[in-house]
Formats: sequence, structure tokens, C-alpha cells
Amino acid sequence: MKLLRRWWPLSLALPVLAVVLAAEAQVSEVPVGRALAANCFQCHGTDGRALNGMPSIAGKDAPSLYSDMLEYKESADYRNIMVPIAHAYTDQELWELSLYIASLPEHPDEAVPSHGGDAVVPDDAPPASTETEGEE
Amino acid sequence: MSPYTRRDFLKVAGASASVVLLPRSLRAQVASGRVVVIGGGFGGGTTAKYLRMWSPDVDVTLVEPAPTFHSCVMSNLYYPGRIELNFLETPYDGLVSRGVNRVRDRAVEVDTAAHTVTLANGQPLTYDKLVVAPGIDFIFPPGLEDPAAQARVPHAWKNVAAQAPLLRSMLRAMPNGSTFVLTIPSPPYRCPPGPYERACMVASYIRRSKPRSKVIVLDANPDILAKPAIFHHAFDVTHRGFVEYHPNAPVLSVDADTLTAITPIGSFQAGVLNVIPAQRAGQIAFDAGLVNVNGRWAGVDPMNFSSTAAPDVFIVGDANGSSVGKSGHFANSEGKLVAAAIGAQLAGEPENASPMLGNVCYSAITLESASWFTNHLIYRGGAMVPVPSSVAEGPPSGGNFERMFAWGRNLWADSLI
Repeated sequence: MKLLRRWWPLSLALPVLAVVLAAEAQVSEVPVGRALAANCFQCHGTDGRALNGMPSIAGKDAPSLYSDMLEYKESADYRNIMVPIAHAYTDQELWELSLYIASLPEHPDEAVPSHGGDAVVPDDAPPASTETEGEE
Repeated sequence: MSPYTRRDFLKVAGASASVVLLPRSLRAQVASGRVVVIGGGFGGGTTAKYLRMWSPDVDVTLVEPAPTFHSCVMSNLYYPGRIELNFLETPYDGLVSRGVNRVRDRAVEVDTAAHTVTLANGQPLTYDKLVVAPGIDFIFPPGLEDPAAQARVPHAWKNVAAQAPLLRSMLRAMPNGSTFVLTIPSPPYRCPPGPYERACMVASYIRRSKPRSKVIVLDANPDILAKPAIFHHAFDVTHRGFVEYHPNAPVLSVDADTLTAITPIGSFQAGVLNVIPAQRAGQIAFDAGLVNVNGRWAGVDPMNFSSTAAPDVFIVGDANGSSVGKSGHFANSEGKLVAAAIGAQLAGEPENASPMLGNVCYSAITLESASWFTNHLIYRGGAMVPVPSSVAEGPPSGGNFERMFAWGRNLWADSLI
């Protein structure tokens, strides 16, 4: 597994991390991107499946979504509403919300895949982090 | 490199031979419990829906007396006849099919100590978490206190199903050459651009059907509060001759018999008088003892919109006293934030410590063009603060007019279906 290969050094730190985390009551099972992606759903439909007139985004692959959002964020053409919206998020947050949207089925009767799965990670994906930061 | 989530951490941990056994407390618990939501608008509807989606073991009861939902968002297009009332209507069937218990009644009493809500029919509901989303009520100016006066001077700022037809019938019956006087209160009020959009929509009707008439806008504020450049251009250029804008003109009193608004800059006698009164949280927030901001709004911790007056209570949408703008889109966003927070609390999991809220607002300028405004907020330092680079507005265009319809339909569906 590509992701496990990438993260194998983490296993060395796991005993320490487990002790630290045991001090917390719980660890959230909620994907980091869910709350971020939910702000897309007012226009792009619940779970990314839009009604007429807006593009659906559910099930698109995460690297493409991320790349599209980065393109909006790098644009200065504020006549396109997606440009200021993309500017609301850090690169890390854009990646997290892309992962979440990619995990949603294109059609509601499809089984929901695991969040993120083994998505191919684009070269320009942001560095690993467990925390997200808003733009200051 | 890939981002690293808590879920991924657990996956890696499970695959590793070096991992120590994780304590039971680290495993996620299923959120369960009983949630009552008072109010089936953008905020309450979204909270109920997303609770069922994200925490399917939670029992959710929505208390809303209206038979169906009618949207204030886009309702200004009704006055020139660009849409009819049914376009604004969304049934509550969608929420029911998601497993929300729909109670068609009014909440008349809340006991936050006993965790009970009493309905108008006397039935009590118990809750583990309560969501109060009643929207706004009005602070009527002198002369508009009694219902007979209010019937002659509609606000059309809530209760769309009843108020909008009343106002439109008055507009259509207005003689050519008469004036439509629209008054705007001081903030905070529901939908800051809404009154200016209404002036544009009434002007769009007048210029075609009653060309000797005009709209007189009496604004309590020193300038246009929302999209000022766009609306100044709309009033001064696009609808030139059909809109007369007066800043610093708060309504001191109203004579409902003569349809006259009295302001510090003079008295304005109208053919149709549309007073949008000053606003406060919906009455049930007062009755529940939740109002503690300027005597008008229900205070919240903006990280999760929990009440600062009572435990296990959340205030979603226009009724809360946060700095978040009072819009349907924001109320939807708040609803999701609260659904996540309640789900986390009921599961004993940590809450999102840096939540964001998103907002998009389209405003019709003519019957063929619309503009937009967007802003995102992030929780920082105990407040919801704007992300500066996310704040922008788009000029009126035909494309935006079409996208406004798609935005409205998707917003209603995301809130209630």
C-alpha cells in the first residue's frame, strides 16, 4: 500500500503517540474534510449531488478536485464566485475537502466507499498535518 | 505527501505490530439521544437533516407549525411577477423521509432545567439537546403596534406565504403616479441586501406597469449596508427616476390610516407603505429565557452555537446574537456546524475546534440580472471572523441571474430535502 509505505516511520512513534492520545477522552472518527465540504453543499447539492443548474461534484477524484480548487485560489479573477470561495481555505483544507467529496457516491444508492480510500496523491498535495489552519 | 487524518492514524495503528493496545476510550461511540428542533426554516431544517445524516441513531423531532416551507430568499422576485409563490415552497416530506419526526405544532414553553418543550396542544417533549431556530420577530414602531395597523402596512419580511401576496396585491392595486415607500431598519436585521433588492424588484415592476410611480427608500442607516456600489448604481443608473433613496431616515412612527411614515427628514405619504420593522429573536427564545444580547438576541458561543444562557441548548440562524450575518445561507451553514457539534457531544467525541461558515448571497437587480456577495468566516479567538480574501461581490449579469435560480433551488434542497 502506497500510503502505508509512505507512513511506515510513524509506527516507531506509535507507542508514544498512543500514550499521549490516551489522555484524551476520545478521538473523532469524523473525517476532517466533512465540515469543510459541507460548505460546498448549499450550491453543489447535499453530499455533492446538485439539482439542475449547478455542477455535481460527488465522486470526482480528489486530485482533480484539489487541482481545480488550487486553480481558483491562484486566480485573481474575482468575477468568478469560486475564486473568493477557494481563497477561504488553506491548501491543506482544500485537500481535506477534496478527499471527502471524492469519497461520496455519485449516485445516492451506491455504497459509500471509505473516506479518502487509497486516492492517488498528486505531487502538489500539501504536506501531512493533523491540524488545519485558516488563512489569517 | 498526503495529509494525515485521525482516521488514518487509527488505520496505520491497527496495521502496526509495534502498536500498544489503544484504550477503549479511544474508540468512537455511536451518537444517540433525543434532539428537539424548534423551527423549520433554513437553520432548523438543516440541523435536523444533517443530524439524521451524520448521526443516524439520534432521534430528531422538528417542531414547526407551518404546513410547508416558504423561502424569504428570492421572494422579492415575486413582486414583479417573475416567480409565483409555489416556486418558493418546499414541503417537509424530505425531512420526514430522512427519519425526522415532524410535529406540526407550535412550541409554547421550554424548561431548560427539566429539558422539556411543551407544545401548544399541551404535549410535552423531552430532549437531551435542544435546537432553537425560531427566526425573527419584530419591534414595531409607534403606530404599528396593533394587528389592524399591521394589516394595512405589511412587512413581508417573514411569513412569506401570507405576507407576500398581501404586499403584491397592494402594489398591483396602487394607482399609477402613487409612491411605494419602503423603510429599512438599523442592523442587525434579516438579510442585509434584501431591502435594497426589494426596491429594485418593485422598481422593475413600476417602470413597466406604473411608469409615473416610484419607490421611495427610507433607510435608517447612513448608507446602503450591503453591496453599496452595486445598489447605488442600480438606484442612480439602472432604475434612475424610479427609485429615490434617503439615508439617515429611521421611522419614528407610522400613521397606518394615511399610510404615512414619519422620519427625522420628513413625513412620507405612500400609496403602498412597506415598513420593515426593527427585529429581535423569535418569541420562543424570550419565553425560554435564552435572550441575553442587547435584550433582543439569544447569545451563543460561536464555536458551536451553544446557548450562553442554558446548557444543552443551541441557537441556530437569525435568532442568535453572534456576529454572523442573518442570512438563509449562513443559517444553513450554522445548522451543519451544530449538527456536527451535537453529534460529537452525544458520541463523547471532541468537537471541531476551528469551524468555518460559508455564505453566498445573490440579489436580483433587474428581471434579467443579478449580483452576488460571498464571505467565509472562521472561528478564531472566541469569535467568528471573516477570512478577508474570501469576501467579494460580483457585478450584475445575466449569467448571475440564471445561477441565482440554481443557487436558490439547491439551497432549499440542501436545507430541507
